[in-house]
Amino acid sequence: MVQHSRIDENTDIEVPRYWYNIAPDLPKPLPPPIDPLDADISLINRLRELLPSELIDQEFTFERYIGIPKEVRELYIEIGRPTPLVRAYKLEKSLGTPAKIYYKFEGVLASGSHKLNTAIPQAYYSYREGYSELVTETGAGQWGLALSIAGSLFGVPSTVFMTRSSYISKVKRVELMRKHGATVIPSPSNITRVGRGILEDEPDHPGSLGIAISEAVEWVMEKPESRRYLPGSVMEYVILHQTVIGLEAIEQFRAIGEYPDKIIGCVGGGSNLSGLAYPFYREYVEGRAKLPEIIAVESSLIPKASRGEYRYEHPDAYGALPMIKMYTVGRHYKPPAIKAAGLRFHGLASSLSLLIREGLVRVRAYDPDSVREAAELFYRSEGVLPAPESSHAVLAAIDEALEAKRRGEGITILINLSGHGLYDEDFFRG
Amino acid sequence: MDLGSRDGELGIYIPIAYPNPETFRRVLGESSQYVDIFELGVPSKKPIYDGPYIRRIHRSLVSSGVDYLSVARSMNRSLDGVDVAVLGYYRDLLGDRSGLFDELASTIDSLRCILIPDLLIEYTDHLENYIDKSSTYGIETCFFISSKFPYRLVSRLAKYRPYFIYLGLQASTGSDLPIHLVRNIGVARKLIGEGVKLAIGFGINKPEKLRKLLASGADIAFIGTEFLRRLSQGIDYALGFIRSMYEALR
Ligand SMILES: Cc1ncc(COP(=O)(O)O)c(C=O)c1O
Repeated sequence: MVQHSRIDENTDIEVPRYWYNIAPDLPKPLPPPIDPLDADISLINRLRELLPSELIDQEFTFERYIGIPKEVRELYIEIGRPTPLVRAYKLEKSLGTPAKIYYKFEGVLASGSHKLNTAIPQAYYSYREGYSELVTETGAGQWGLALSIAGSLFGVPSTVFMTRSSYISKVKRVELMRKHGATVIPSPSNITRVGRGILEDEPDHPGSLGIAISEAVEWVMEKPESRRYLPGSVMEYVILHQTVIGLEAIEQFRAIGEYPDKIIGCVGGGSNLSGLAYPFYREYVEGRAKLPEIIAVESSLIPKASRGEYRYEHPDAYGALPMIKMYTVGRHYKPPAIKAAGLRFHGLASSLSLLIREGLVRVRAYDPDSVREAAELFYRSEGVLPAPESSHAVLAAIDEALEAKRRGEGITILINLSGHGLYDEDFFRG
Repeated sequence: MDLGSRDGELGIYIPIAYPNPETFRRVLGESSQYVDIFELGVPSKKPIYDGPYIRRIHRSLVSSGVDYLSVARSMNRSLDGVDVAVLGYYRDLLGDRSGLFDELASTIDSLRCILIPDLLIEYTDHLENYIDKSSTYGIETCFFISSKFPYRLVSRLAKYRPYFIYLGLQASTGSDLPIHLVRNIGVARKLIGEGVKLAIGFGINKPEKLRKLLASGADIAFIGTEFLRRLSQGIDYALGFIRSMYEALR
């Protein structure tokens, strides 16, 4: 008999009506953002000119739950929520492991990744507050594409600074963003002061997310009355929006009478892992369940959590945004042009960094070749091609499943399959 | 001071010896009639949670080499019996070679508590030490929190019966982000219960705002950046401002 790998109960669960803010439940206070000690102007106050008000409020809210606006929730449903929780039977079989491997498949969303979960509310609030241009950075193009789609749903065009190495290699996503009316600019570019400065020294600079953020911020500062800067990760409110992933997953596990022992996600800025894991952390804090082992997987070539420092640093390369306390390899770190471009970020969200610091989240780092092999194995066995970023989580899950096999343990593993890799031919070409 | 007819208490924040020892004492003396509590800042090289404006003041005080301890010793008369909370960063007050906590605790007559904003964020493990030290000097405790504090911790702090719990309304002093402050104050109030005073501060710059925030559940409001900004333009200008804030609460 063919085993159905899709969990039937999936379709019965509701899209959540609220987002979950972890700050009230953290083991320690979340350190506030700060201005650099030598700053003459307040970068914190500058957020007023960059972000929609509603998002600033969400960043600093004291509430544990924030209601999802009706318009946003309806769009969540239209673009594919709830996403399926799938059991990777065939992968389990090919590994010969007693472990159960589940993946929460965010790749089914219209843009191909979890990024749409925050793109929609960010575009919604910008639109509602009357802005006419959404500005952002993107690595692999997943975030840029998600925002372009969300923006066009509200009739607001996007301007996307895309790291140059990806602009060259992720051709499909550039095209798709443009179809939604986005202006896509390779970063470093010559339309910002920041970009020109870098190109002068190094005309072939591959770009980095840190530089692209600085360019996007500068672009907004030129016309703050009509433009808003919308980040794809790192901010606490981005994670807040992503908690729909975990809130759904809890209901889906409940429906099948299972619960994960391990939760695994890749980390660029930390939003897909946190979005999946934080609601499970809440279950633990409220005494309803044990705490799954949470594993953050990064690229060994951008080892912020495994080899970086825990300190205050700017999220952008040029120090235009307030400093946040996080694990970081430093904003001047020049990340190699890996094809899992969404991981080419020098830091990690503050709350996730704190949980790592407190020993509640473990860290793993993998090299690109091993990650690609894992992705290919997953593709061959499941028929689903994971995004290069998500493939880091897949590799960690395979390692855990093989370890479970050695020990003869029937553990349950949950992966965030944050995106599909159908437009990442550069990665799979090797 | 007759608080019965008032909607809340008013405090001003001023770094010790600012802008110079003489004016500092004069400001204390002349504002004491409007103010329920002085929040006196210990000049710091690294006032990390402060905005650029207050940081510049700290920098100038530190580099001027003014002996603020002796200024603190000589200010008791100017205080006129008004309560004092000293505010200083952990390293300056309780750092390895610092005896400043002890010095200040034994110097200021009307001292109620010493507020250390980074205590629970960067030096959580030193909470007990802080409590012990405060009780050694017969002063109360007081705690700084933000909207990013865990609920459990805030509730636990209230159990220590501090003089007040201070909610920093903004990410740094002097900033003015569009945050739903009334809601955040409401959450803080619920967490700490009714028995402990809730103080608020950061970015309070107008009488209407002061009244509205105090009405939403806070007991004490501290004015910092806006008062200091005005002080830099003249002592009377600053005092007039404080009087208008005071009157807003009658
Ligand atoms: C598919 C996918 N997964 C993960 C990431 C990493 O970001 P985060 O750690 O915020 O989830 C990205 C970033 O672009 C991505 O595109």
